[in-house]
Amino acid sequence: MSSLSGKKLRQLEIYLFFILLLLAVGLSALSGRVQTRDLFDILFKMRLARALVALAAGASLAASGVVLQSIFRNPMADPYLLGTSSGASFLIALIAFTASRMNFFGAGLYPVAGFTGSLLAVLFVYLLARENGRTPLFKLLLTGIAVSFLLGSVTPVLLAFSGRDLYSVFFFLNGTTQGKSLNESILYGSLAVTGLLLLFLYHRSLDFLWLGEERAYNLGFDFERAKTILLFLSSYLTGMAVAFCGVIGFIGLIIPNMFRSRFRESAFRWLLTSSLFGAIFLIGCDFLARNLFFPRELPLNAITALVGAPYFIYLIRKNADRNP
Amino acid sequence: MQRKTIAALLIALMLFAFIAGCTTPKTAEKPAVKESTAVARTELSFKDDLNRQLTLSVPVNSVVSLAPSFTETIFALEAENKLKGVTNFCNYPEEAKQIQKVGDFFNPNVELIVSLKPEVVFSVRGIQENTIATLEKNGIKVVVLDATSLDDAASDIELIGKILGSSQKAIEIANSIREAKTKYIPTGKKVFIEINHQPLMTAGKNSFLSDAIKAAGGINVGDEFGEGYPIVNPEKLVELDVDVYLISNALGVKPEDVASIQGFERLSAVKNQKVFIIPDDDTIQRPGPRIIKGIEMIHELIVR
Repeated sequence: MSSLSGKKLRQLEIYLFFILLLLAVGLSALSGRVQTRDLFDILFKMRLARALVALAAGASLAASGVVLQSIFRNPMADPYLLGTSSGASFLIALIAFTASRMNFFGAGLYPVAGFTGSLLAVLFVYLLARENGRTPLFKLLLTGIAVSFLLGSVTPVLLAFSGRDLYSVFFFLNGTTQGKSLNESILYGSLAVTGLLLLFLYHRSLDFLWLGEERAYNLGFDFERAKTILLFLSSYLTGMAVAFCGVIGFIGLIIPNMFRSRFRESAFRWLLTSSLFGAIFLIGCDFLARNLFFPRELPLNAITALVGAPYFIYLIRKNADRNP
Repeated sequence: MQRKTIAALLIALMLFAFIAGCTTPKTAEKPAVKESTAVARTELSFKDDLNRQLTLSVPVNSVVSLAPSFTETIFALEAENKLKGVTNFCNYPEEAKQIQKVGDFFNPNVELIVSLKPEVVFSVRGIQENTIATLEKNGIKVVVLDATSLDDAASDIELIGKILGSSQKAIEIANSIREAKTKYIPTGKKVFIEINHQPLMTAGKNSFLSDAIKAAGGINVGDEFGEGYPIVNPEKLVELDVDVYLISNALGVKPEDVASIQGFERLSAVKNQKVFIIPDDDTIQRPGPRIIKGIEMIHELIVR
């Protein structure tokens, strides 16, 4: 190992993640606790659909986390920081509320509402924080937290006024990779990959963001424009994930942190390793959720936190003296 | 100067809080027990579903219901004049909507309940346990009933009847629930009931719904997934197969949504178009007198 330079090693690591990702998709699509042979093709498609959703959501949330941590230069930032999840639940609850009053079914609209709600919340935060054509970071952050609380408090009020019908909304937002057809999974996969590719086009801007606002300006870099584009690209990715699989926690926080210290000098690599490993991680968690207490499934968020949190603590302890 | 004023204000505030804190329980400690003594009272001793030994002097004259099933039972017992408060989930019968609301099922308003001075509050387990503790600290008796089977529902109705002095009526209803258990011969059809779409959830072993499906002549597929309300592994569901697929009507989910889940095209229920939205699932979710109608409704769907 010592003969390999650090750079080469990191390159190898990326290849390794690609291979691991393919393996994870394969394993997850081919194995499970139901063993019936004549059902194999059916089960294969069911599992593949879930693996694709997990891949897309895991990569999206991890990439989103990288962007938000870069913009705020803060390892605590995660994809839901600027109100995406509370915006989604608010709009979904609002639709369900109206639907229950006007007697039509609203569930088909939930994914669209989830996506729109996420984006609108970020847009709202962005416009509120804007002053003289700029959006200062601290203002953006505080407005994001305030708007999250605000939307988060309106949702229970809506629920309180609508009796029992709306409680399915709460469950809808619990993260899950279930319930999609293979076609829907492929659709989601392509929507997410498009967003990810666009994000990779802007990896240079991510590098500048780490320098901080002032230094970037001094180098003639249009910080404001880059920030805006990246913010909305990451919100697009998060919004899509919320629309298709509800709110999956922890990935967007922990995965970027796993690779920050090693890959920070190149945003491209940080983004790439995080997306790849985010995908692997979520496929793995979904596999556990499906099979650990078979045939009962576990809530996906319980697994991401259970697997992620101890490692996160280890990471914090290990890096405590090295990382600002 | 300013600091002194603030200090004085703070001390005043603390005194106020202290006095308020001391006086509230005192006023609440005297519930309206001595309102009417027209009917001779007897002591009733029983265990509730939190396994607590309770003793009440019955029949009582004022109660609050914290769940729709209790409200429906009390109306069926024709004791609604004793019902002083209900939740805003209590939507049946129509007259129940006229009774004082004490908040929703998940968040009852304790102050409001205390101010109604009920002799007994009927509550369910789990989600309402915080409220139960607060009510009892305020000197209000809480009876916790949580039916997980038709037999439970029947004996709970009998108990409510005893507490309200309508035993005769209660025994009649309880017996008709017990009869409903064996009214339909088993059809051998595998029935799945969806209570949440994504992730897929159902009623498992030892749940009220599971018991109701069996009474309606079906086999509850949900039993295979464990107790309570498990999240279902869809692969296992495809392996087990389903003849009749029922969707809770509160979900806003349509039969097409079920058919579009990858692999579910393989379910017999989907192939034979036996995926139904339950027309009124309040009747089968609530362990009250309407469960008899609920079982009938499920049976109709199973044999349709």
